[in-house]
Amino acid sequence: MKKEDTVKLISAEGFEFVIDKNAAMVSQTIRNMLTSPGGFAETEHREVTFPEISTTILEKICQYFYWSLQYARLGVQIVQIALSAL
Amino acid sequence: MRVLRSTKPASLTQPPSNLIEPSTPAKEVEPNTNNNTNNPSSSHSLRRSARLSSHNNAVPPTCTQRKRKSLDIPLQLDTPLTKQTVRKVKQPPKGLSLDAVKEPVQDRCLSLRSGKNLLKPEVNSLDSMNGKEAQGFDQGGVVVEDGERMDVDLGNVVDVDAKGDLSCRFSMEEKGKGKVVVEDSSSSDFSVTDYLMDAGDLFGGLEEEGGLMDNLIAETVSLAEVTIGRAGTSDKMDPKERFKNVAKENASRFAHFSVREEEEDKDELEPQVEENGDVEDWPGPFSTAMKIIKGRGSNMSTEQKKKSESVPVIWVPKEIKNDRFRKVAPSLEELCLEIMAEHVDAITSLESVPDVLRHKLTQALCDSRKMNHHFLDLLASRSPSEIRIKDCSWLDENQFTKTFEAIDASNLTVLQLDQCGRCLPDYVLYATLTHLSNKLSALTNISVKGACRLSDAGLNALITSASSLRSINLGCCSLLTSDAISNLADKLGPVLKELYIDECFGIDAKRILPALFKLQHLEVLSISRSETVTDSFITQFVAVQGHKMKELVLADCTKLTDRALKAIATSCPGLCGIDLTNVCKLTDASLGHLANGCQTIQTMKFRRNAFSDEAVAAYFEARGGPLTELSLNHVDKVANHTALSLAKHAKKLQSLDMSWCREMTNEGLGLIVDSCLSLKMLKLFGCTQITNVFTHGHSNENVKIVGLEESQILKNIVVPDLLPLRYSSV
Repeated sequence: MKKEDTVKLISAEGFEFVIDKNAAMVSQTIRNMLTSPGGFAETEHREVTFPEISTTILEKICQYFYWSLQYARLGVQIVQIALSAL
Repeated sequence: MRVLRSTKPASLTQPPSNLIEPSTPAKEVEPNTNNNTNNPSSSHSLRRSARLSSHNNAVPPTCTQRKRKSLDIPLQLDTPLTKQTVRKVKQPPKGLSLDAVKEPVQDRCLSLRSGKNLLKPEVNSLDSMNGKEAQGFDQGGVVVEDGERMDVDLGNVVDVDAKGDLSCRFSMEEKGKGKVVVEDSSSSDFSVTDYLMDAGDLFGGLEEEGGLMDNLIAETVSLAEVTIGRAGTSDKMDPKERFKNVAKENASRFAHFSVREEEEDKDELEPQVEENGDVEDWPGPFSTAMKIIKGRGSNMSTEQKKKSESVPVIWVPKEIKNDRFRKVAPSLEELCLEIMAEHVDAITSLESVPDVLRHKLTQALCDSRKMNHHFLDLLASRSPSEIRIKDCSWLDENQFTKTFEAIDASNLTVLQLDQCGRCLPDYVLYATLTHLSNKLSALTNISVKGACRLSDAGLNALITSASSLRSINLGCCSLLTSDAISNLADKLGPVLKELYIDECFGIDAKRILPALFKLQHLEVLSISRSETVTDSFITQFVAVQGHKMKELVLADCTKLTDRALKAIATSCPGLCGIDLTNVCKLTDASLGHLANGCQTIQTMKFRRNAFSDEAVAAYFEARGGPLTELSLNHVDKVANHTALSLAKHAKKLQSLDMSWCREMTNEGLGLIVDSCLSLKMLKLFGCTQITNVFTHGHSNENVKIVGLEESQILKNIVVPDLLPLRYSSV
């Protein structure tokens, strides 16, 4: 993955999750942070910190992002299997 | 023309002896006093030719009041005609003027029940006069065969409402033209030919108005009907014979009447008749709107009008694209709630879970019947602020007592225990909620809907301990009586804002009126399903409390009529929500009143009301702006006019229910959905006429269409606002 396609999410404990940009865009909040013309620091460095979200939660969130992309692309059946793996 | 000939000896009717013997062979059709003495019981449906009656008693040609009731029914039995009620014949055709005879109703009545009077399809003759076939007009017996022998007995009934407006209901030909036959009282001498000529003129004059009359469909007053006829003459048959013959022919038709309709009519005719189509004439938004609607119609050619009743809606569906149906993944919150609901027993604590999520979880559990005592304990632990359980039927008294006797209710503001009949009799209430150490002082909302074992004493105790209640829902508490409400009003008079007493059959609306007046800040009143809610109750209630009312739920209060709506409209200027589900007696006049009186209605619920398309559309033209939630469930006549008006004016509409509106078309719905961009929910149960053209062709991304295919019902039930009070802050 190229650097331009990725986004880094940082949890409360400091863990860094590097995920695909499309996956991160599933969240409206992150999408706004990264695409708004307001000149956020996040836009430049492509790093978002979540000081109130713990690591285990943030991990699940990243998994959800990927799952959601798969859901939209593939339909329900395949994704239900994936859901149970979540 | 065909002549009625009957060989049966007519013995039913005695033609009135004081019938005129006009020099012209005009026939008096109207029952005279003789008939009346014979049939004192009948007091309805006057049928007399105005002209002849004028001969009888030189009455000035003023409008009068008459009642007529069951004539409607026989008239409509045989013919496929549609009847229209027209308020005024504004330009009487030349040679004819409106003539109404003032006479006391009782004296000159047509005794329909005995079937002695004649109701003739005068139009038959008139049709033939105009050279038309009278096929649509055979009203059961009188056929005029021969041109020269106008043997038709025509009853002339002119109903005039209290205000002196002439309201006529016209029998319409199959071809859809309205006709009015009004007799000229001015001339005393007339011949048959004159009559016929006049009728022809009348027809001719009114055909121009036919278009106008076609559009005046909205003014339907249930009782007003005019059967206008003309007396014909026969050279050969004795008048008495003819009367009798015709009466015999029609007796069976008239033997059919509705008792209840007549009873109620006696009491309530006056006010209803008063509403007779006047709403359209009052200056105001509604009349303006109705003119606009009619303007739409009149721009079309007459052929178009005849084929399709309403304006064509122009909407082009966009091409079917596949990206519409890319599925949107459920949100993480939904997924988590589902998992939690499934494994509820594994939850150990709800600490720091916000109320919103608690409520969603509780609702999911109640819907899937997984709610249990364990979760209730979790909800009740640690000084909760809101507990909302929409279904407590799983809960029994012991569990309830265990949970609620030790609850820390110091922060409890909302307590919803719906369907708690099983677990909340009086003694349990005494043992738990009313005995709490710090009482229920913070409680603002309580709902014990379905507490069927709660009696007046229990309610009194509850109110004593929860003295700052703002909203109380006592739906389906069948043991409560009016005394309980009086007590409630005494204690909560200064604070209570919302009162829901749906389906409380022990509460008599009239008797709680004084109590309701004591509730100084009442904003929401919900008394659905009550037989005792009548027009007079509503009128008195809104006279005192109307200016503060924000919402009235009067669902299933079937006794209400336009009068009540008029009172509501004039007295409740700030009304934001109204629910008139199943109030079947309302007519278009109600919509007019609402449009003229209430400017801020946001939530409007109709179901099975008999409104016409034009009136509904006119309401939206006038007041569609603030609407956010609208239900036209089973308002059958809703069609293209409404679609056009909604699309143009209801910009804030979020939820629309058009289930069972079978006149709606793909185009109409498409126009609405593409124009109302805030629309999120569209319910179309029972609308099998809607096809893929609409569902695939509309371009509104946000709208959710429910009801066309298999739809999950529970998920689409709208959860009421989670705010404690509907219209104000606590």
